Amino acid sequence: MPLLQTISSSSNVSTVLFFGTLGMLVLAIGLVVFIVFHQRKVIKYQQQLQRLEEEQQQILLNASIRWQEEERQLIAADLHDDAGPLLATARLYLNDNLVHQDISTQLQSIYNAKQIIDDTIQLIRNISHSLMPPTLKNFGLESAINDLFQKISGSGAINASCRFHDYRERLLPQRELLIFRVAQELVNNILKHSNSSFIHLTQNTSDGKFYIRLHHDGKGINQADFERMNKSSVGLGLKNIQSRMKVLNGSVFFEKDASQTFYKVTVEMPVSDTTSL
Amino acid sequence: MVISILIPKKTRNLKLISIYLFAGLFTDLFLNPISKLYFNSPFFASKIFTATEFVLISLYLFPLIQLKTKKIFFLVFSSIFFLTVFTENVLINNQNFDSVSTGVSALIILFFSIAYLFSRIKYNTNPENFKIDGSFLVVSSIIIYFSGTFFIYILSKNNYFDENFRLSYSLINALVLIVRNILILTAFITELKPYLKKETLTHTSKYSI
Repeated sequence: MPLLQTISSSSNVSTVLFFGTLGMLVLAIGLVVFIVFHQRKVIKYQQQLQRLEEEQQQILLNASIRWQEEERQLIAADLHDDAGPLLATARLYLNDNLVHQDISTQLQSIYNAKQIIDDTIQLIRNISHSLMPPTLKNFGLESAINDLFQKISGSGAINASCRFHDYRERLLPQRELLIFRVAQELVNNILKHSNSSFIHLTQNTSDGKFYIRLHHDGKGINQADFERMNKSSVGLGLKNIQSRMKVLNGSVFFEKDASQTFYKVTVEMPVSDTTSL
Repeated sequence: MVISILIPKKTRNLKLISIYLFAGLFTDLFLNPISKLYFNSPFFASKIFTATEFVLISLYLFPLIQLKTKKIFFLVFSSIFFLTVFTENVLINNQNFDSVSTGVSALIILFFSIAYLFSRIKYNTNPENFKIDGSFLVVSSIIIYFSGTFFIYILSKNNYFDENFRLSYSLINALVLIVRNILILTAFITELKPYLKKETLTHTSKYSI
């Protein structure tokens, strides 16, 4: 009987030992395997995210290059189609035969050439202003946007107004130019696509952030549309806005107003950013 | 020991592990025979090794634990382990296999190793830290080793002199030791790879000039 008990007790211990150790090992190995798989999953997800970000950067870069090329083509077209013929005409008035003409014809030709050269100067000034608005350079963002809105309002097609609530100190010139370009592009899009009857721009600062809000009553887009267009090959202007906002370390939000009557675009960025500009 | 001297200063954690491996080897080769010969007990060496093992693994795990509260818990549980060792060996003067201290040490180490692995998942934001590195391999080896030996250690107190049990003991112990050592070796290779590469680079650049 004691021998049987010993055998039974011994087999019990062996069973406990076998199943206990097996259970513990299964749990331990299971845990390690779970963590390895989880880590792999996270790495895969991060890599996917990184790839998407790189693709997005590539789209923005392409858009920026395309925009630059289009700008250059516009300037080239302006110079070639307008300034070129004007200067050629002026040259015609001042050709070699002019000395053989009578005084009154000479004076008329010189007067005409002067007129054409004045026109050319004005044309080149316009091109230069479109590249860098002098109001922005000399008087700042508020004046430049006011100027832009006055011109739009002056056309009579749309009611445009703007109001700067908190703009006591000028921002860095590069930042002002980028913000102006963003506002210009947004206004341009509203004029082109929204068919709205008014545009209202407001500026304010809060918690170290600089805000520009645009309201209009036309056809607008929301944030989902903006992101979709940003990822597609269309919407060059929107991509430019996005790449400029990246440089400004800011963001842009497209939404419908709480009243569901107006569309609202909010441009948000840090007031002073030492990292980007 | 030689490895612990040779490995770079920056990999201090690996030094601790190599000392731990050396301690295991030293116990098997020298302490066990001394224990049997001079103290007339086969468990004296294992008791010393349990305490040394706990101290070395705690020193390895402690810097890996990020949260202050967990560190405090670790210190509290460590003091419980030392209290158990003191009670078992000084107050009660247990001459048998010290299953209580071994079990407590295994539980504490397992708990904090698992906590470390989970905190690695939970608080990591950098994908670089998600890669299988030396500390992950060492902690995994610790978890597998202590899980595998947990039951043989806690059952040793009453069954150590049973032949069948001794056989199972040796078999399980040898098996988990092999797994542990393979994982630790992989950890050493993973951690020392950059240093070896650097050495090779400087070596070739020296001769390419």
